Amino acid sequence: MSMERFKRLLDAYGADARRWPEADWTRAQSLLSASPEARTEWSRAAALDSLLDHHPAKADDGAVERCFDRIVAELDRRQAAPQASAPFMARLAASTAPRASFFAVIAVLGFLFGLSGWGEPVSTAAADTMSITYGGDFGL
Amino acid sequence: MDNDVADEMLMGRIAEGDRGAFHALTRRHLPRFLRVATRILGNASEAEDVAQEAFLRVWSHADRWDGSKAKVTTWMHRIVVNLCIDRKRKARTVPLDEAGDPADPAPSASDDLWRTQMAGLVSQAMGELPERQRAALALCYFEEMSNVEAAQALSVSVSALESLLVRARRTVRDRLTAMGLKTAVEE
Repeated sequence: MSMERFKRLLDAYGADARRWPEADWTRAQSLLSASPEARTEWSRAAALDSLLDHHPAKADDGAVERCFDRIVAELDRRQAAPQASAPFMARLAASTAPRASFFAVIAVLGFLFGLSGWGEPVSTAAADTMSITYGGDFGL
Repeated sequence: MDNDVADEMLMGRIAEGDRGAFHALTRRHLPRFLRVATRILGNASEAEDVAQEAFLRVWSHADRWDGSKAKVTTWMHRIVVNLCIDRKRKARTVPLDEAGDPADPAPSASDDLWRTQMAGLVSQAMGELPERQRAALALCYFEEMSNVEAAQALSVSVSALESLLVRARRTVRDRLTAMGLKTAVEE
């Protein structure tokens, strides 16, 4: 392990082997035993560790119990409330209604045109007339 | 509910709507996640809010947990960390040193007073860190999670986690040195 990598790992995980990736700590042992500089760096990291250990954050039992009761109460409240899916379904219906109406109208019109015979295949003669008429537009 | 039931088993039951399983999982992990939230937010009251919301999400999103991707606790850490970071980004107002008294219950002797003062200084230095750096320290240093688990909880690579930790520890060391603790930090 290079000294640079050792310093980076010390800066990241501190001096306590429990926080290091196991394989890295194993490799660091030989460097620690051979290098005074590595031992100095390790001591600096250990000093910072000892300061960080002063950071208070233990949640007291009262806070845990209070929080647990709040969670249970809030879950009760949410489960007693009307189903959350109801507003979602209402929004879904509102957002899809215009599109559904549009497609329904198209379907009805298509059916009616089909009944009226509009759109049936044209005869060959009519098709010729149409193409001549169309070509005339381009000066043919 | 049997305390020996594995988290994974409880999650399966929670996904089916089993309140007993939810209570068991909450009892088991609430102290830890309350502690993590407190370390990241630096405020006990806000930490309770976050812990509450986190466990309610566990209840409502239990079916989204994928055991092949993450341990239950890693998944839950991710929920807590994300909620904490969101909260800090929305309201960057409460420094750690205003979070209330440290946990030490009897600061009567001089040693206790010293510890209380040290706790205040460290809290202040930690409180000035960006939230992701503080979260990295909370998970890796204080909760002693493995780097792989902590990286998963923060949704970053292990290399990125190390960078967060390096910046966090260097910043805290610089702050503490500036507060006059240089001899305690430097050899």
